Amino acid sequence: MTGSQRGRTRRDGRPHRPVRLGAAGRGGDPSRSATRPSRARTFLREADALLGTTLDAAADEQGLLGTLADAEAAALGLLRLAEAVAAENPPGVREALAAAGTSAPEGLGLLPRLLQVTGASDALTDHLVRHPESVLRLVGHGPLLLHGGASAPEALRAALVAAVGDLIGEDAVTALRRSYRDHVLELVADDLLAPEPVEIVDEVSRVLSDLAAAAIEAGLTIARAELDPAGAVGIAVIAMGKCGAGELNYVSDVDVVYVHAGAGGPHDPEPPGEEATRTAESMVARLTEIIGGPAAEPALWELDAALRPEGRAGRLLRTVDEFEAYYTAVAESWEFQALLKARPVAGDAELGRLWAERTAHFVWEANRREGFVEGVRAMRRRVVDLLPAQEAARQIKLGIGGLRDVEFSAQLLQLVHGELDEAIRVRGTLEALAALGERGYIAREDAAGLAECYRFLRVVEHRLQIPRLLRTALLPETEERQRLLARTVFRSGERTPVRLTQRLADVRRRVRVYHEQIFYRPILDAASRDTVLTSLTEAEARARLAAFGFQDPKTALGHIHALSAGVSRAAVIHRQVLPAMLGWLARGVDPDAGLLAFRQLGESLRDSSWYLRLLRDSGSTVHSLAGVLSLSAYTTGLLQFRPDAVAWLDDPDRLLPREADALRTEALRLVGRHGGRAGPSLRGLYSRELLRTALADVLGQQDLPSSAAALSTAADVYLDAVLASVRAELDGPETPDYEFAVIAMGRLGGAEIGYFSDADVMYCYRPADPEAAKAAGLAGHVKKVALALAKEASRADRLPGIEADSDLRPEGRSGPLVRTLDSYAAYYAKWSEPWEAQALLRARPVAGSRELGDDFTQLIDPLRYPEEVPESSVRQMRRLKARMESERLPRGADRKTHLKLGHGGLSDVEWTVQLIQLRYGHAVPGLRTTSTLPALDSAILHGLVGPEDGRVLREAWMLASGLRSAAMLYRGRTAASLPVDRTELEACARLLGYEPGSAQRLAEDYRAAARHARKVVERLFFGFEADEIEDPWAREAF
Amino acid sequence: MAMSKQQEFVLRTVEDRDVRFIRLWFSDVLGQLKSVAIVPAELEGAFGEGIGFDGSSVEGFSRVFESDMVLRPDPATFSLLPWRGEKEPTARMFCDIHLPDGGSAPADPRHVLKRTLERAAEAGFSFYVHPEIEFYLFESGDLAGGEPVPVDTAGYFDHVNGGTANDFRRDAVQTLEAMGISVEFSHHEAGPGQNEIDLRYADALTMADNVMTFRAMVKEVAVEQDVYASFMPKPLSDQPGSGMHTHVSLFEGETNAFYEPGAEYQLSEVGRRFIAGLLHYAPEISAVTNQHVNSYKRLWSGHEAPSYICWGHRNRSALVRVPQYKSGKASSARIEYRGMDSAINPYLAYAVVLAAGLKGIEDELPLPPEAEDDVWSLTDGERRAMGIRAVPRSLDHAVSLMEDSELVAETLGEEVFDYFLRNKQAEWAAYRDQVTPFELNRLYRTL
Repeated sequence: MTGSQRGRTRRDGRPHRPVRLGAAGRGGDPSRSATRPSRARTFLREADALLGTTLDAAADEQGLLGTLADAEAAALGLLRLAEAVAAENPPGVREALAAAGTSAPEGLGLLPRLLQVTGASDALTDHLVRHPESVLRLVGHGPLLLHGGASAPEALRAALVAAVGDLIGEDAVTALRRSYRDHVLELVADDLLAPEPVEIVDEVSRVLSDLAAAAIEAGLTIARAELDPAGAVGIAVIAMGKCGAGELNYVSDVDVVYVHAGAGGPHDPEPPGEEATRTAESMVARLTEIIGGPAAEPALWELDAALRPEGRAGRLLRTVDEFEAYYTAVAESWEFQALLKARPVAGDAELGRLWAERTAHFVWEANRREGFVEGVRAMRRRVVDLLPAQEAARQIKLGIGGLRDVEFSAQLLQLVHGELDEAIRVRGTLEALAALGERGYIAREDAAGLAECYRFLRVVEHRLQIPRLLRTALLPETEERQRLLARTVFRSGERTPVRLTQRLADVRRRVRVYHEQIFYRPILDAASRDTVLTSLTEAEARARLAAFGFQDPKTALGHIHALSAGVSRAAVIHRQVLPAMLGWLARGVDPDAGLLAFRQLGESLRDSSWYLRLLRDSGSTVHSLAGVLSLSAYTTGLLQFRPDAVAWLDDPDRLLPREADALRTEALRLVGRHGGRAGPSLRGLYSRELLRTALADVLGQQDLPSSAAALSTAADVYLDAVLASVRAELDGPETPDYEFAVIAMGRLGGAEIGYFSDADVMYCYRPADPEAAKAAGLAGHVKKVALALAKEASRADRLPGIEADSDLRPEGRSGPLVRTLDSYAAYYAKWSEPWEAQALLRARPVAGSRELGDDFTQLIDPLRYPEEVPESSVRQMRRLKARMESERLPRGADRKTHLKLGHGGLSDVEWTVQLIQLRYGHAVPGLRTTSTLPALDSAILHGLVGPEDGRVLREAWMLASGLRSAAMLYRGRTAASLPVDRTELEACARLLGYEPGSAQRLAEDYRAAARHARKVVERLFFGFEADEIEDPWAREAF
Repeated sequence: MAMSKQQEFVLRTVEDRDVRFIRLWFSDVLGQLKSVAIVPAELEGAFGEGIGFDGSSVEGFSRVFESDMVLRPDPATFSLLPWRGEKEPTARMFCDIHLPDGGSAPADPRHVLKRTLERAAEAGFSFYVHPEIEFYLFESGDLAGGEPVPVDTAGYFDHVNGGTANDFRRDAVQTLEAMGISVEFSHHEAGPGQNEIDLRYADALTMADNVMTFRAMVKEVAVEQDVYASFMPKPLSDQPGSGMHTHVSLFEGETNAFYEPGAEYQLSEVGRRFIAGLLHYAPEISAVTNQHVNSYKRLWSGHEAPSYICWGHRNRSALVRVPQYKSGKASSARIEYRGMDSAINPYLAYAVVLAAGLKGIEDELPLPPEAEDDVWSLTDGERRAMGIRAVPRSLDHAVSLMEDSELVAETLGEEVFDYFLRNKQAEWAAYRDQVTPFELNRLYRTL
């Protein structure tokens, strides 16, 4: 069996090892030390037997196996190598391995390096098996490549060019790739043995970048020898992206563009002739093949020229003049972002220098373009959106809080400020962070923190790529691979997946926070005119705010100043919170209003230590607060009166509706204490519950029915308590005993009130002693009570009250305001048509005497749930509804979108349900409810409405109700129709739980829902048949 | 402002060719071409921010209180107008219509088609169309109370010596080709003065733009020759109407998804289901593919008009035909929908036809048996027994079927759907309100 066959068997044929999580969690797997090293040692002994070495003993003596990521893989790799050495016997290798087993200088450092490499990288083990003599490169003192002269750019270039010599064709390709991998072998050995990988990660990247440049140079040498031996064509290779910035990882596409020049050299104003261009193109094509094409020796990486002018459609090579023309007139914003990292790396040095000189300034002028910042940011968001959801969490490069977020934050600020400040015009991410911190564009501690995160993420990325030398940034899914990764990332301490997962989560969270704050923090410093901290001028700060979506940046800056200037504790904390807050507000529908509200809150709570503590300590609360302030004017308005409610945001339980009984008790205690002057306290209580419900709605914590129930309960309690207060004021000792009840109709009766509903009510009373009542003029007294109740309930001393409207009472405005129960009975007895009772279907006692309310209900039940509804009555109802449709719809309103009276609107659905209640209520107890949805559910349950029709009606009703609430929450005013204003529609969509940008989708959804509902209503309520169709047969399916 | 390559190209061409006016074209909901002219100096701004206009006066676009709209020219549609009538070099571009906040205007027919094409693209399909457009040439556009008078008395494929029709077709074809619209075929049709020009297949969006251009161009060339071109579906009661038989195909990348070697008529499962969808939804999309009162006079007048919903191979009376094409030439596999007439809004009509076909594929609708007989010659009972339904008999009937159509509502979007219905109900009401010569002739003397 040859080495490679054996290796394949191991990789593919081995069953998954059982994983012991608990043991791994404690670090150092006891089962491993008991069994694995012994298997590993078996492999080592086999190798010793093959070569006559003493590697096993040496490894044991130096305690090497325990330090490895995967001792078994390491030993097996060594065995494969030994087989290759035994077969080929390359000069000096046997000797070196023998020396490694003793402590002879010929084997200095060889065994630990070899085991580290074979234990961590299958790809490099394969390289060693292919080229056993490369083992000799791992002998030596101290780091092999890092920090030494051999890693200097020129030295690397010389080494690779020398390896190629004057070879051409396949031999040249093999020599180049082999020499490149020998260098990678040395680098990986240095990297894996480094005590603190995060400290050298930038140097590792730098060497990889220069090594890539050297490979391109050597590749170009080969291509020239093959295609242009006379050296007639001038080409320079410009590296973009990571290679350009000197921060390449182990395996990555290398982004380049190619420049060429005329026969007269770099400064020749004449473009190259046709023949020269063809030669140059074939050289570049050959170069790409030499580096990344298929050959006996595996490819290095892809050379990608897609960032060239016009992308993949553009010509491969251009002259400096052509580049200049393109960047002047054609290039898109993101192309300048790419230019930021460009650097000539190979080919004609003078041509490269000239290119850099002529194009560098474009990067720094890009910021003058309109919409530049937003364009670049939108690009970043798109990248995140495009990641498959299950990958996003495992992606350490593109995912949220990943490498790209760090790079992006740095680049954006460089692009924004580099125009005026040359000190931040650097290529690498770490250099950029340092410079930005130094010059005050980001806070120094932010710069340092981001750099630390970046280094760690890069180490993890490198460790992900070392095993197979494949381009990947995805964290492994299997525990086995996670364990190996953890053991290569951490050199000491616990080397467990648990630690790695925690550390990564922590780093990504920090990166995310930095990323969110970094743009706004300097604005803050500019607003507080703290020139020590920042060099951002006020004008620059305003421009940045405008770029991020504030309509009135000047005023916004004023708010920021007011919040954050000075040395008060509040200012200090606002300075901490604002960077993130501004970012969140900017993503809301109305950032300017949100910021103003935040300022007002800050001013009213300036001295509340709990508020400042909340801001400082609870990021999620601040996030919620930003959402509320920038989305709901109604809620914001209530918050101004009750700023302490901000605290509820920190505690989801406090956003739950209060129990009705508890609320009632609280209200009646207020009446007990304040008697006739309880009004203001009761309005406070009522608005407090409105606010609680509104907050829960805006934050998406409750559905529409629960919200409606909470609002109705609050209204019931409020009216009941106001009545008690009014009676405490007006009833004197001389007033005869009487009961008084308020009967709600309409939406309050249905317990489905919104944020702004007039309450339709009727008043009823019952004297204990009718004779005495008559004598004392009780009728006049109760009228006073009713009037006082309506007045007190609606008194709007800045807080919302309830407008009680009694126009629906018997005989309307001309009838008495308050009637006795007997009077109601007498009135209703005169009715002849059951349809007249329709309005009573939603009558519900909400305040006052419970017995009287119950008796009222007893009185009307036979009316509203009659045993029989004659066809004539149904026809009457249909006619009435049809007439209302044409008469009640306000002038200019759109029949398709009017939420209440339009086709498929609230009234359509409610009448349909009410007709069913009227007809079948006497027989089906579930229909005897004043609320629309429960009645509809009961109708579906009893087969009175088909399930699909029921779903359609429910959906339309819910959406119309939801839209009314959302419009109210957004702007604090009612909306009669589907909003036309796009901003308002967008706000409603977000309040109804749609993704941002769904305004049009909401409009489509409502129109469709209403259209469907109208069809059902026409069938169920109006009883229209499909009789207008000329050819009924045509409607049948095939 | 960063310009795209195509925008660059447009700007350069405008300068090189000394273009004086650029017409920005778009379609209203009914398929009427609308045009706004700008001068070259405004062009860069048009590409950047677009050109604002008041949409309230355009059929179906918006209500008065939200009337601000923005035209964004599509540089890919740039073309010089080669009409001799233009004294100064003039070019045109089709536009997409946006709302001031940047989103697409729901009422833009081009947007309706684009959205449907995107849905097809999500299923991996691109949609190609090749129409055969029929129209009449009359002596004059002014009826002066009489009937239209055709320019000749020739018939199908007739060569007319020295006739207007030949000159006309030659000029029209040259003009179309000059605008980059390839013509496949042109000939005299069956009716006197009736002509047909077939356009070479293109993707549906390009073709819809081409049909709009075609109608404008044909009318323009007619004016130059002092005749009048009409796309009315049925201008002469005793002569055939003007249809727009439309060949359609779906491609998956480079592969024709309708093609399957060895299958019956080389028609793939996808193709069979597409036809099944078309047949199933034909009644409810009819108000879009045949949008006028007059359209139904073409559909119900014989002359091979497709009045019955069935498919066939050689059957010239079927609504959907699977044409014979060169065997082995996979790319030309297609089906022909014969229902549409020349007065369609091509954006909306292509959108509903595509949506119907896609639905057939999605729901795996079974294809009913092929109709081999001339369905006109069957009795009502026979057709019924064979499960062959009829297309709607009137606009009123078609509109009431469309009113119940989820497919059409989803495809057009709720706003266009609603507007379209209202407009067509109004058209029907206005038609019904007339007292016609028919009634007077028949009843006046006897009653």
